[in-house]
Amino acid sequence: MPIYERSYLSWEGQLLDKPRTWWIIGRTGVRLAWKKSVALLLILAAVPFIFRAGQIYLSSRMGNTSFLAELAEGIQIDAGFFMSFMKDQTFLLLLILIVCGAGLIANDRKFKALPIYFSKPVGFWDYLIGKFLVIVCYGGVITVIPAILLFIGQILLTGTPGYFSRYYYVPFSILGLGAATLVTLGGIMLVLSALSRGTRSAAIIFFALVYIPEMLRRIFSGMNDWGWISIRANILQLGAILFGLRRPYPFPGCLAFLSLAVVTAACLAVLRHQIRPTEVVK
Amino acid sequence: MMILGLFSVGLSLVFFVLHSLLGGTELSASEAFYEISFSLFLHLLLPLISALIGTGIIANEVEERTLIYLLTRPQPKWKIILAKTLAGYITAGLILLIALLATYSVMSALAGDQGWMTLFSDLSRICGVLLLGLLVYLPLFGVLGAFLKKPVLAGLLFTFGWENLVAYIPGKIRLFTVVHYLHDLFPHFRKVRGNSETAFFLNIFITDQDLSTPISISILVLLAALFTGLLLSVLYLREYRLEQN
Repeated sequence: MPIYERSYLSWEGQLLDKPRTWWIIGRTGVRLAWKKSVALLLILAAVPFIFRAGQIYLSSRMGNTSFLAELAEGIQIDAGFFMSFMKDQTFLLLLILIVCGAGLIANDRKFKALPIYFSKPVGFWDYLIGKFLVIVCYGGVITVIPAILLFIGQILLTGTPGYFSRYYYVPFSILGLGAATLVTLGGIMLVLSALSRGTRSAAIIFFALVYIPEMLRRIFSGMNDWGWISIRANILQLGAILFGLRRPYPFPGCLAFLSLAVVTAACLAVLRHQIRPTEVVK
Repeated sequence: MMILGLFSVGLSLVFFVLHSLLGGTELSASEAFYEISFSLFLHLLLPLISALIGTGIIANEVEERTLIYLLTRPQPKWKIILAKTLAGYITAGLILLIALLATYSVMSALAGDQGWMTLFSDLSRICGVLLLGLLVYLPLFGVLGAFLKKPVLAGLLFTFGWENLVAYIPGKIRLFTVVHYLHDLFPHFRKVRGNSETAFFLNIFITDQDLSTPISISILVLLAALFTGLLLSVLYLREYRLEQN
């Protein structure tokens, strides 16, 4: 019968120089977010994808011989089709960001978990990237990934190399627009989560920040030059440039990019101020 | 919440001043006020503020684990909830009305040729519509907050998902929304027909006045009574226990 020493046993593992704590934080965040109502939202977000996939199928299979030819002719599977899909996902993306992102930092602050995080070998960037990973994961699942799948589906269904050679840039546009959307909106969500103690107020203010400027831009549609004040308008303007489409607003594209960059930089500055790592004592 | 109201008012005024200075399309102060009061106040601020306050009526006490202690007070359960609902109603109402009055006052001052009293009857009507809307939305979100774990999500899906989606569906399905009855009472639709993007959306939402004013008011009051009754009975229907862990 073995006899164990009932004293402190030192850990005999090896310390990693770069333990990739951001990955652990992100992975845990994704797992925890799944327990919320994300599955329901993902199902809701799948409906437009199925509808668009149906459109692609119709346009590629019905051809000129079918009785649905007229319907198929009305569906243009061009760069605008994919841009339109991503645009339509915005409302659900906001809801996903609210569900996944509102509590990401707010809960850590509420339960005073930040000192515990930073007592481990976790830096500001590890923490931020880990939290941001959750937003990218679920946001990407309803915007970037289905758009890429639709593009692949279109390539496979048409089977002609001409389509790919004409729209080879679309996957990059999808990635670019997805990145711009997720970085900006995700950044705002994280800032609000860091500033507020409750998840509900963060969610409501996030919704208001996105929609109030957009609504005012619509009301004063005569002054579209000032449309860059709306985040949504900036994202759409940038998307139109990335997809090579006609710009929906008269203000310059660089202004849209600059506006989004300023918002992101401001978010980063606020997060840097709000999330303060304590010094790790080794 | 006050920041939310002030932010929207401030931004709308900045837009309006810039619009006047830059000489945009012909959008008079009165038209701008109608559109702002409709799009911003009725469609955005009213549901958002209601959601923020309403969902917290019971949910805040549950989250903070203070509901149990609140219920130990020698007061009937319904009275506690009613007091909290009334407090929420007054807070939300004040925020909305102050923000609306500020918008109206500054816009009428900027318009110059029109006096403050010119649109006063419509202003009063809009205030009434907002307060009536609050009377329905607040207990509705309160009920959602009492029964659901994600009440804000459900509230946003209802107001910005269901109520907006139904506007595009023909037929009488609009009768299953709250905002439809508020539209009927809103003075905007019988006054403004602009060329802006908003006017386009308004025409989708509402074509003509479907119901008479007394019927719309009666339905809203009935809905308010129903949701308030449900909210007051929540503590009798559901048992909240203090978690041991």
